[in-house]
Amino acid sequence: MFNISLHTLTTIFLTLLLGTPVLVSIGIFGSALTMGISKNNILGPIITVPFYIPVLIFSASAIESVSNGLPYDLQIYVLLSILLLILPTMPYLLKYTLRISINN
Amino acid sequence: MNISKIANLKYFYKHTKNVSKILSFITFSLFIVGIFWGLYIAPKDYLQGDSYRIIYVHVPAAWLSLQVYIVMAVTGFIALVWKIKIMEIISIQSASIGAYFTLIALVTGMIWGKPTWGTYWVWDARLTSELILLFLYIGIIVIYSSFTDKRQGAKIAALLAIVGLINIPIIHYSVEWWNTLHQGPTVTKFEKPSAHITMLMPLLYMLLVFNLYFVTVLIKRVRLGIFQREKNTKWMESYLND
Repeated sequence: MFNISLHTLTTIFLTLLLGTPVLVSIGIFGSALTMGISKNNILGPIITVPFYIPVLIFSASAIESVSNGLPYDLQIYVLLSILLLILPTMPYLLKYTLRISINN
Repeated sequence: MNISKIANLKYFYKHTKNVSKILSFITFSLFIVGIFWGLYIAPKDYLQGDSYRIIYVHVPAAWLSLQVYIVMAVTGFIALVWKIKIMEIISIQSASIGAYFTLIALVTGMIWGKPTWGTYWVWDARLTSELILLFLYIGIIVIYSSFTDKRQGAKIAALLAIVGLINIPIIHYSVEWWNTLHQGPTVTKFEKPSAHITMLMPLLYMLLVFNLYFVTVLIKRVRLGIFQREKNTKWMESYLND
């Protein structure tokens, strides 16, 4: 597909699998932050852009490595550790953020 | 004089007027001395000639951009947990000072990069993470100013600052973790600093002056923040009328 080898394609899907939940969680955090502001829904995604960057850097680096035939397990492990850090902590963070946003 | 008294907004506002004046005078005179020391007395670099002298602004500004962020996050955390009003004000006022320091670090780095690297900007780990820090600062300022209820805005901004704290070790260790064009640490290698003592002393001195500058400006900005928040209260009106 798209002149991409199967090996590269599996890596792309792996980075998507590991990266998408992190990006979604950060997006939810952004919109939870801006809940107290009315009619300003674009602000949340813009403000949380800096937090997306590590995920994007490591995913792009993994894909670049695999298409050059280099080892890419380091980047995958970093993505996995970001995911494993985010998944348990994000619900508590969101609970706290929403409490500040609503209780007013 | 105990902590709870200083944390009182009214007490702080009334008693820091002279302190901030004296501090700004001291900072200004020490700054003049530091600039003279760095630009005239310190020896020439054998490789870079005179162009290296910009480190006396660049390095302290970059250092302070990280330090101010930590101050902002810690005071923000205190404000969230113990609900101390003055900590909210300190946290949010640090954000704009930190943004200026980050901007100074980036701009002086670009000016220095042209003669030494031959380019103003590369997408290198240190430079990119410092740019992300600038975006974080701007985001915190923007989200605070878009709230009409300033106490709620300060809480949300503090939360964003605490989450963004994850970026600080990335910036600090970026030159060691990745192969970058930016040089490694020069000052923090305490066993054997790679700069000569005659170049290192003015640098450490400038670091001290920049810290003092931060404290001075912070006190002034916190006074402004208190004024904005308390301008309709009784004590402020009676204080201004005196």
